[in-house]
Amino acid sequence: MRRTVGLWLAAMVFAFGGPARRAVAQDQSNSGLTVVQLRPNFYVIAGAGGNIVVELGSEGVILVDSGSTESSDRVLAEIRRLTPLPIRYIINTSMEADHVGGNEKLAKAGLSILAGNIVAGAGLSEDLITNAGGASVLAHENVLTRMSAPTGRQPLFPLALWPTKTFAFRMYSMYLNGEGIQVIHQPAAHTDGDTIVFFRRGDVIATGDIIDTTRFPVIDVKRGGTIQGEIDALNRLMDLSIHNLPIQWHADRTLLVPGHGHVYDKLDLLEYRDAITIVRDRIQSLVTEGKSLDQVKAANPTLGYRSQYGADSGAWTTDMFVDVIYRELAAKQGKR
Amino acid sequence: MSRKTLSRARFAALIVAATASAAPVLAQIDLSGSWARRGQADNGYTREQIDLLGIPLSEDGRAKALSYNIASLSATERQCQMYPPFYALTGPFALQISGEQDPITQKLVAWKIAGWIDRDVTTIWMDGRPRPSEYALHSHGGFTSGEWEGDALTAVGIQFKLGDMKRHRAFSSDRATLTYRFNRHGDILTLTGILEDPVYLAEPYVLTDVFKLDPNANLLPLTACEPIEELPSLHQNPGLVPHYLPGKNPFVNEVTEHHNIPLEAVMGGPDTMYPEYRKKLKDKYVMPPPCSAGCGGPPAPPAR
Repeated sequence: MRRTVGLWLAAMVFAFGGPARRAVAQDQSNSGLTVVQLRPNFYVIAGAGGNIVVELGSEGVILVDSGSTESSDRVLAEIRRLTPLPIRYIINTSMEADHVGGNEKLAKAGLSILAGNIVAGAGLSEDLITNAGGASVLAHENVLTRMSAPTGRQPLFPLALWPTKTFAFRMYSMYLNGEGIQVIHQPAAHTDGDTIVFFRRGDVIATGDIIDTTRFPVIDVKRGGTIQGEIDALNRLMDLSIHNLPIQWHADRTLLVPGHGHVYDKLDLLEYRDAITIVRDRIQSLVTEGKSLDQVKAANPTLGYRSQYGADSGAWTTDMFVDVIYRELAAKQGKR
Repeated sequence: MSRKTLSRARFAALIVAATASAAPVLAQIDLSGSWARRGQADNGYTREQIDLLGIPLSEDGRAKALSYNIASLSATERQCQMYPPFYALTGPFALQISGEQDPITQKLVAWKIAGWIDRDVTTIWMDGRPRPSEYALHSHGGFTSGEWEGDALTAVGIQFKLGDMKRHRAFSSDRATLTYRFNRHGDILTLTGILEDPVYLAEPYVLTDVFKLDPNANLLPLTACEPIEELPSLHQNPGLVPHYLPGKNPFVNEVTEHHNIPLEAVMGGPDTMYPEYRKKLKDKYVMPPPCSAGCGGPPAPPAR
């Protein structure tokens, strides 16, 4: 009886209790990952490193990015909760460890869309072409270049995480699950291997780390990133996105899934693009005035955006962001 | 009393106690109707672009406001942009509130504050539903849930979009939280809003407005919106972002020039919203001569 009363009480408190502050997100699962449904057949898995986009269709599962290596079992479990269909492609938006770390586990759990026996008959290596029967891992060639190393040198990432299919030019397109998919290379943005993945029918864009809603975008100069390329990429995303006009209270709009943080639409992107552009313009003005890096930092050119995107500690600080922009703009000025 | 009866009585008492302590009491007061605004905090007729007095801005909030160039409103994306819900307290129009019932049980599920031409609908969920994931898309209306505390409805809103908290002068971020308190006294409704924002505010911004039940209230419903090509420069160079560089905003001194209010007050900040701040300005403020034109009211009617 005591137990029954307890259960009743628990049920009543659960049924009637609680304003917004006490409520819990419904899509947080026991895995510690969060799964957010964007469209009937589109999901975001968050909390596994970088955000992972999951697109489902009759031909299987397409993933954009694979999260960190240590999260890959949990990511796979969440995908299996969504569908029993095989993973066909993993598209990597960059070479970051928290975007490519699950490549091996998730590709092996998938199934190649290519007919291995035919390519073997053509004299090609079956394992190479079909990723040993697993899902293909697609990325820009620069991602493979950065992850691998010339013969005899130690690569940054193990072979099992490398892309199995690469493209070298501005775009790679395919049609799967009734969906036109454009993998668009954005040269020299966050790195030199960034891609935007545009699902045309679903109107969902995976931006990779070109957008990180939790901080200023990381410009990884050592791996080919530039502030101008970053701004160009944000403007490219502006061109690809459509917001909900003329019926502005409707939900219809392009959805953008950033590399980290919450889902954006065009108006959110506009604020992010404006913030980065304004910081760049301020630093440009100071560079033109002949100010030194220390003087530029002292002028606090990120004021207005620092509490939103800045950080004083961690892997990517506001100082580092300012430093990178200053050096790029000062170098350009020096060339004039 | 038998042992079984006692046990049942205890059980019933426990249920009552548990629900009384944990559950919101549903829909005690009817808020529905058209509520005409008795005052207005955001004076649309003011001429000055920079007037941050009384807003508890953080350093970032002030810098963003001073960077703002109204030419940015000509971007096609911004022409139809909506205000966040806090504008219900500062904007010019009436509130139209309606209840939304569950179609089967007829229990109240939500209160809805209808949108204006440039402010989205605010839905105050009363059914205890969980908040959306922190990774979900934010909306202009945000996610708001409420509960009755005695005769007052208290609601907490989150996950808005970044937007103007007052007309083009100061902003609230997508991390802001807005707590509403609705008090109805007969035909009078008092609405208090407490805006907390870790990005653009240094302290909570609290505003109260009074509304009167009025079937002829000044409502301007949501309408479809088509942007036009306003500034050729923005279309010829879509990456151009109109803004003022630090220290270059040409409108900073307007309030001081027109009204003798010291610049330090015009720049806002937490101090400027407290009555004690007047003492600080006492020796610095000189009453300007009586205003003869552009005094903050509607245009004068044409002379006959």
